[in-house]
Amino acid sequence: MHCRGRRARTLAGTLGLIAGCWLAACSHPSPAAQAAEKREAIQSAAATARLVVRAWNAGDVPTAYASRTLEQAATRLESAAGPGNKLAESIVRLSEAVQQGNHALAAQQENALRR
Amino acid sequence: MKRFLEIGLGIVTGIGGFLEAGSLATAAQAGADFRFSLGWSIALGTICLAFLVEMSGRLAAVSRHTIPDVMRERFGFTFFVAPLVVMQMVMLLVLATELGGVCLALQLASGVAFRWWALPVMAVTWLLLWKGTFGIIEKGVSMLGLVTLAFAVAAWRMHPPVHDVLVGLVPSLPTHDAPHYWFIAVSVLGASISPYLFFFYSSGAVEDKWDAGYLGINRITAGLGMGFGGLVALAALITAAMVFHPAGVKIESYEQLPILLTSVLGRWGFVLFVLTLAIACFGAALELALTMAYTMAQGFGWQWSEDLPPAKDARFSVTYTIALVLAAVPVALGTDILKLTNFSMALTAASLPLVAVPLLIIMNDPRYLGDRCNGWISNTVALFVIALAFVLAIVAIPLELIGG
Repeated sequence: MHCRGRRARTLAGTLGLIAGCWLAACSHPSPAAQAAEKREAIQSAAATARLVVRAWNAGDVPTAYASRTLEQAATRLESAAGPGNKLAESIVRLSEAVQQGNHALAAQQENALRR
Repeated sequence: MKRFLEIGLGIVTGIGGFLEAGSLATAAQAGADFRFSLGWSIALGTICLAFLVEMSGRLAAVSRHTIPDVMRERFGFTFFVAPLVVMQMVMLLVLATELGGVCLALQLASGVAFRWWALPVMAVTWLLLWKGTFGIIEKGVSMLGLVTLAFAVAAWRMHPPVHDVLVGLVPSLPTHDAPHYWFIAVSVLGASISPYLFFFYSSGAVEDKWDAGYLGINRITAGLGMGFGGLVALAALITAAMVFHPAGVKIESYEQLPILLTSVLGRWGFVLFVLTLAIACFGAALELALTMAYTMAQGFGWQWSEDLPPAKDARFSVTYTIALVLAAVPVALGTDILKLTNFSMALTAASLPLVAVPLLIIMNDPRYLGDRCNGWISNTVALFVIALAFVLAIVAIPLELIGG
């Protein structure tokens, strides 16, 4: 009897844990968590753009790769920060500079990103 | 001398075959997001995998049976259907990510979008399976897979803080973003302890006609091959921790990954990354397509061997053909390969109990293993894997939703 009660408690605990996990999964993130996520996404896109342009300026990666990766970074940044974001526009200009093979303009835009 | 050669080849195969799209992406994500803190998940996954691989090789060498074969015989076909269906679905998803990985490598090299490579890559994979032998697929591709050592070279040249790396090998609680931390840990474990790896290994041992005389080779190959393979995955984590973590880069696509190697190896880094991604994923795609065919053929009692001409084992050959066609569809549709990778790794982790529990029972059955049944160390590890597998199965999908 006692053993059956313990088993029932264990089962209830396990089911509670599973239900907790699923409920947490289905709940919406808090505004603070959303803001932190947005900040991280913006920082990540800008840092990716800087690293890619630096590699392209050093001749380590091909133009097609650099341009495509920069476009992706700009798209991600826009989806995180909303349309018309200045940083996203800088990355788009950076991608255009890379496509034109304009190293000076790319370096200038990269400096702007750093600021 | 022949034995030494076989051990050497086995270790090389283990190293060359360890890294694939899943383990590379999850290790790099772990390093970028949590520096060295998740090193333990790679170490734990590698140790568990080494034990499971050793068990599957021992089973094949002693009983001349593969795992699916024994599962069907020991537990009956009705029981076997559940793991068969789940495993085939999970392997199909992982196969799609591997084909996608090859296509992405070709996109990096050519500039042509990866979705256009889906059919040519699928066709080349199929052609090699149709025309090739087990030896070519297992050893040839894995030898080429040694290019993945580029990550080890990069990690070495970065002079990572050894103390911090070692501290990361000890399991720890997250300091921030706990759901994402656990999601990445689950994905790393899913990528490491993939049932397809030990299914393939046991089928390979039967293909290579192993007998009890191979038990020593099996033990060394499983231990050192998987161990060194795990070190390559750890090297990928270290490079990401050194390059991406300080810059605040979060990995959101495979296209970001070449920077890991170019930042240390310059132009060669890009070339080596493209080769690493292409060869590692191509090798894994071959192994996965074969494993899907092996599992079906062994489960249904069909004729099977990669060394037979396709006309002699038609149903086996048709199975990998269908698997490749189905797996190419999401790639051709332009599905996000990184999202597909994370999703399939979490599902792999969730499906692990279906294989781990029967394997433990089989490995203690003297009808198959005689006096070579599991000892207490192997049983302890297997029980640990089962406990881990159940935890992963419960938390994998919720974590996918919260932290993925």
